[in-house]
Amino acid sequence: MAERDGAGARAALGVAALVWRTNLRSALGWAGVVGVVIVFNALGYVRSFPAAADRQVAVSSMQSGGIRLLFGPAWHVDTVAGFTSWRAALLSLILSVWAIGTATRAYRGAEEVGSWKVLASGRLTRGEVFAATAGGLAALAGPVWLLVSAATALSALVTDSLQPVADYAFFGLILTLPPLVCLGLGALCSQVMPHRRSALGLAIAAVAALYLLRGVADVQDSAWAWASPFGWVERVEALVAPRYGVTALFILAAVVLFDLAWLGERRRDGAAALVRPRDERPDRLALLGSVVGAPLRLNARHIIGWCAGLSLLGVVTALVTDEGGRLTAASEQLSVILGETGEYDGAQGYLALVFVALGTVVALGGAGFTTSLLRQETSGQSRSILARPVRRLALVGADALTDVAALVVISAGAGTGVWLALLAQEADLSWAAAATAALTWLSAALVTYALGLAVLGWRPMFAPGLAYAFATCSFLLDIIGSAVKAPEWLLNLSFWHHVPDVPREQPGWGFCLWTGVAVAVLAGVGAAGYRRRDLA
Amino acid sequence: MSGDPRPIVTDGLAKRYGRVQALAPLDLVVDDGSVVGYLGPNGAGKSTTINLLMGYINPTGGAAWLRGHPAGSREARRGLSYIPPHSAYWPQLTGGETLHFLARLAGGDDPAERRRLTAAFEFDPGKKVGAYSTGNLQKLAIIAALATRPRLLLCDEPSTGLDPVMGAVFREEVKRLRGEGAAVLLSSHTMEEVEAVCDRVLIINHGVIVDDGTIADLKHLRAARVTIRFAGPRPDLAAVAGVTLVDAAEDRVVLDVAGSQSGLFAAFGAAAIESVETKTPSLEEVFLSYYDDRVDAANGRT
Repeated sequence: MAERDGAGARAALGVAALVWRTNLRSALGWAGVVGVVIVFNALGYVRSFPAAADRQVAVSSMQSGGIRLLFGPAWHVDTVAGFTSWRAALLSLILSVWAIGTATRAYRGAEEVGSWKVLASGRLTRGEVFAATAGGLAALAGPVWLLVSAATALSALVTDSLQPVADYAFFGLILTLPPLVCLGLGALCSQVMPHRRSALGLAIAAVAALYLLRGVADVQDSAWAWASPFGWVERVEALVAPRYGVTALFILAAVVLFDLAWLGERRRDGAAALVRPRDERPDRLALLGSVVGAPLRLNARHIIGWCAGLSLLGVVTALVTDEGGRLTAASEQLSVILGETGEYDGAQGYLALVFVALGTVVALGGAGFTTSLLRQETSGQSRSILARPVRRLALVGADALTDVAALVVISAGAGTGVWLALLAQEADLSWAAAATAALTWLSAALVTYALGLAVLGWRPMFAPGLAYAFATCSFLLDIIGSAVKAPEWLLNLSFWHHVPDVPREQPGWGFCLWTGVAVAVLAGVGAAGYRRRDLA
Repeated sequence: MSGDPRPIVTDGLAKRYGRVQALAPLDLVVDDGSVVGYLGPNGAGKSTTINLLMGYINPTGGAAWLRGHPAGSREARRGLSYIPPHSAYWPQLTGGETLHFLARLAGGDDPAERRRLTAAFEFDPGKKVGAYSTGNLQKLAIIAALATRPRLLLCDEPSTGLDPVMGAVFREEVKRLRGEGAAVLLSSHTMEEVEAVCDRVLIINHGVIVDDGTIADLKHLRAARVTIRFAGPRPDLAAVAGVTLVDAAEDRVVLDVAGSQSGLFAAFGAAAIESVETKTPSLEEVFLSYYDDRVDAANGRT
């Protein structure tokens, strides 16, 4: 009996280790991104607000409702530690998104692909596999905590504002605990919903609601902020006036969520869910008559979701245009990035940065579309279509047409979101100007997408990676290169550097023409390759 | 060749991946009203051939024509249907929507035929594709392929995931298609299926066709196992041409006899024979005989 127990424990440990190892790379990646953001935040802060007087400007600019809604109350932003601590809620939100994606993949995703059956076919029961998976997921908090703590210490080191090491360890812990709660949330949603996508959707909705609850409570100075883990993150004030007892709340919430998930798991059949899927429905044949209509029909929900998300992002970022404008005008660093030397309209500068950010997100969406094209090919869906008398170029052309239309709609949605937010603030920006600004940045998305198509035509497996790398590197080169006053030839390598500074500048015909030619040439190169090569 | 109306004609069709010859130059002709079985172990080149005929991959040598049109061209895919081993469709669509979409891409199907096939395969088209089992996905692929009444059908392991009853229904449908004058190229590992429906069989190994003939021809060419019981003294039969001694006892011999058995019977002379039992090899035994070395290796024999 003891031998059996020992073997069972080893098997459980093996499952936990497998889960830990499978997800370690993504954990380190996301924690690394958060670490980089922490360091750059701190560096940006001391460069933008080097003197005490500058920091008082920052403090007064950050007290508006919009700022509190987005980032939380700015209690101690007159120091590097206070500024870093103020961003904790937003940073923990980034890690929480990773956590729900990881948990839903480990639970519902494993049930979708059937790998759980292998794990539960040996010494372990389904419940034990669930518990072992939870252990492996929870153990991921370790490397995340280490990396975030180290990055926070580094940020203090480079800004010459060192505190005791324990403070950074505690700040790292505070950023790691909300994701731990969200791992439990993801596990619970995986028991409730029948598909990974729907489980992820439910978890994202829950996280968004919790973040919004914190934001609204912060705007009204309400105690309701204590109802959200993101509110707890703010109220811990980790680097300024730490309240260690609050950590118990996180641990309690994580334990309760994992327990509820475990109870849910016991109440259902393997691979089933507490909510039964709607697998049957009457046929809806609209748009299913040709290769042109089908991509639109198949991706309509996806496009609507992207459009709604980007519109919301446009609204949220433009809601704080007044405060952002004051900060931008006061910040030496942002002035350099915007290429401003004397007095200038900070609000216009801030909006220019907003459109850069929105344009970059849309460009990343364009890179994502090339991933979808590749997935369609590798899954065999393309072959199902090409078994019929359909030309390859007609197939990829129809997909590209839909993707480009989607990028236009998404960009227009983002521009409309900005316009609506400015309208609410009675600011002076017409819808046409906002739409033009968004469509100007559409050029970056189109070039990214066309580059993906060009590579897809010849070396399909490299297409998504290169498209993502192009968008990310162009953005970073433009922003960081401008900030450090890199030579012009280097900046010119970034497509982002050539996009007009909307809404302050208008795109000229020359820009439109050469962008159009570049897109057409890249798409043509891709089409030529796709027409002839072996399918992946 | 170009303009040749036969369903499949290949001329030195070959495919090479770097240093690996996936398919050696293949000359193949498939006529109307015939079902050709395509047999070979995993990695022998069967799927490569079908992918080349479908135009999914390009040949590195030779060419293929379907009813006179270059393989892969839009014209070649008119009247052509394909059943893959693992189908990939769109999980958000229902089975009915998928059938409608694929039929429209093929230029339309026969609604009555689709209904008949749906009933014959006991398929529920009202469910979302994401909810289908492997077997039901394969039924969907088969119905989508057959509902257009193709003149040429290419099948790559078509009965993957089907239960025996549905496997029999599929075989009946293939026979029905042949009766209508269509041509079928059937790549399969199910010998029973090939034996039941194929007029002709191609056996491929390491990208090379090692045999081509009717099932009766293939069986005839392979040795039949003959067991003879003698009532008296046993004559020496090992020296007879085409005969290989497998086992011998005082009153009984077991022999493999290749080709005609007349020489064997002549060698009996005046021997008193109690019984003669002849066993013709099954297609599976014929198939395995081409891969004796691999079978031996798998069994740990040298």
